[in-house]
Amino acid sequence: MSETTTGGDAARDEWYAVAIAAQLRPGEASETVLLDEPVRVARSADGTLAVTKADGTACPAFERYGHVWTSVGAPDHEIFDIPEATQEGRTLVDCGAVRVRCSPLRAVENFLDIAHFPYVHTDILGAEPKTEVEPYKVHIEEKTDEIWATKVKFFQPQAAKSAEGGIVTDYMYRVPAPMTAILYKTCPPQPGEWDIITIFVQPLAEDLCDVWPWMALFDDGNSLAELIHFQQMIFLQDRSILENQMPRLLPLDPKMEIPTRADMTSVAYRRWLKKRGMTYGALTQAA
Amino acid sequence: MALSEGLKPGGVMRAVIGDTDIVVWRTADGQANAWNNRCPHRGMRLSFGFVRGDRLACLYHGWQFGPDSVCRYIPAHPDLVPPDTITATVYRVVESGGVIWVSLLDSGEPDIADVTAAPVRSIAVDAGVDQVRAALTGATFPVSADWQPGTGRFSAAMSGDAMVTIEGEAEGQSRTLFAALQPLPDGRTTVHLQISGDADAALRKRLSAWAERLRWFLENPGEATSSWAPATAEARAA
Repeated sequence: MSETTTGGDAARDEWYAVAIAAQLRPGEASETVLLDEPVRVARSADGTLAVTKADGTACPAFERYGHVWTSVGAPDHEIFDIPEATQEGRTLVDCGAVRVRCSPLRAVENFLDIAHFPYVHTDILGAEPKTEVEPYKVHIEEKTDEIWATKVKFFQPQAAKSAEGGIVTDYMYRVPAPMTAILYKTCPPQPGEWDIITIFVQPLAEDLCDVWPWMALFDDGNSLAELIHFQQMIFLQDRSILENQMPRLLPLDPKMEIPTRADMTSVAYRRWLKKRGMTYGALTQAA
Repeated sequence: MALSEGLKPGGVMRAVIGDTDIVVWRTADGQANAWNNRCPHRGMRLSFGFVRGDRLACLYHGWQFGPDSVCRYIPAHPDLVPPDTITATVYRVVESGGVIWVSLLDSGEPDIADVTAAPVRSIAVDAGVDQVRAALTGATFPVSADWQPGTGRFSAAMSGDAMVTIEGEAEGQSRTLFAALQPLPDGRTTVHLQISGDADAALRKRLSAWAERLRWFLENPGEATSSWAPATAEARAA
């Protein structure tokens, strides 16, 4: 099997989270890697952010959604908007990074998948025998070229601490950029609103990424520490899967992995990546 | 690949031959199967999966595959009969003399000894399969010293590329020690040991200690000489 890629230029011209903004205090710096390039993320004494490559080249740097964002290329677009980030009444939660030895694209695809809940997040996000995935809708928003999956429903055995027994939870998914995904989820304390859970995936290499979960939730009485602990547990369960998928890169050739109807979002995602020339972290041809 | 007793009914294990990643599993009623270790759905290693009756289920989405490797059940769509084109890649399996043998080739007769033997131990050694084979056939490793039956004569011979048989005597009886060799991807080798006839705990323990000395010998070529390898306790300390 040849793990072919073609440079990943499309990936360079995107925005990526590379640090938690609140954890980078004035006078501090952190070293990280973005698309195989070492970068230094620093905040000066007066609070100004700077991201620089090893050769000293300055990259754009700004704060948004609790993180420091940059690009090693030249994006021709602003960062995607998350309107919920400024909605009153939401608690914004940084969770830290989970490092995963897998393609950043596999990490996003797993996040868009519900059929694994009963097996990977057993008795938390799903449980046998309620494993059925009802038909849902997937479309590409033409104006923004974003993927949306709507009318997703799944049985959740323990939707919230307050919820007794299981309930059917509604979900929506939004993919505003190739390595970002946003999950909208029924919000028990605030009917009619959606909690949002996002992952900002930082591609370190084609087969290595840092996943930065970030949430904007209505208060359900849980402490911040409990919320973070819960998300970390979920992502660690996902990691045990992601690090054991072969090949590590995401196959874009439809012949290499067989989908079923529940995988409509994943199928749309793979096609959308292919159309955009997003080959970084992807396997574009079968051996 | 593995000793038969190491894979109980309903058991699943990962094995590797060269660069090939393999899942070996046993149905509830005892049939051993070996497939490429990859779910055709999303590439998950099937060795993380679980057995239900005569099916192996993938850990990721619970897809179930029958012993013929055809997908029989997709939990996301309980009413769907999966097309029989969804399959795992199957390898040939032969269970003989307490060892599970797997061939990556589609044809050819298995060239393995059909014997009745008791399992002793599987041990991974940081040495290539050729080196292990050479040592076991007696060129470099003093087999008789540590097999330790007291008195007796020993000789080793090859049975196919993957099996060394060592004839000897233990507790006054003629015995044969079988060493099945499995090459691992990182240049290491797993040696699966069995002995003809019955083996009580004491004999197993002695043979197990012998296997550890074999490992020490192979992993310390500079220190070991053509005479005796050091005692097990020293080997452990080293």
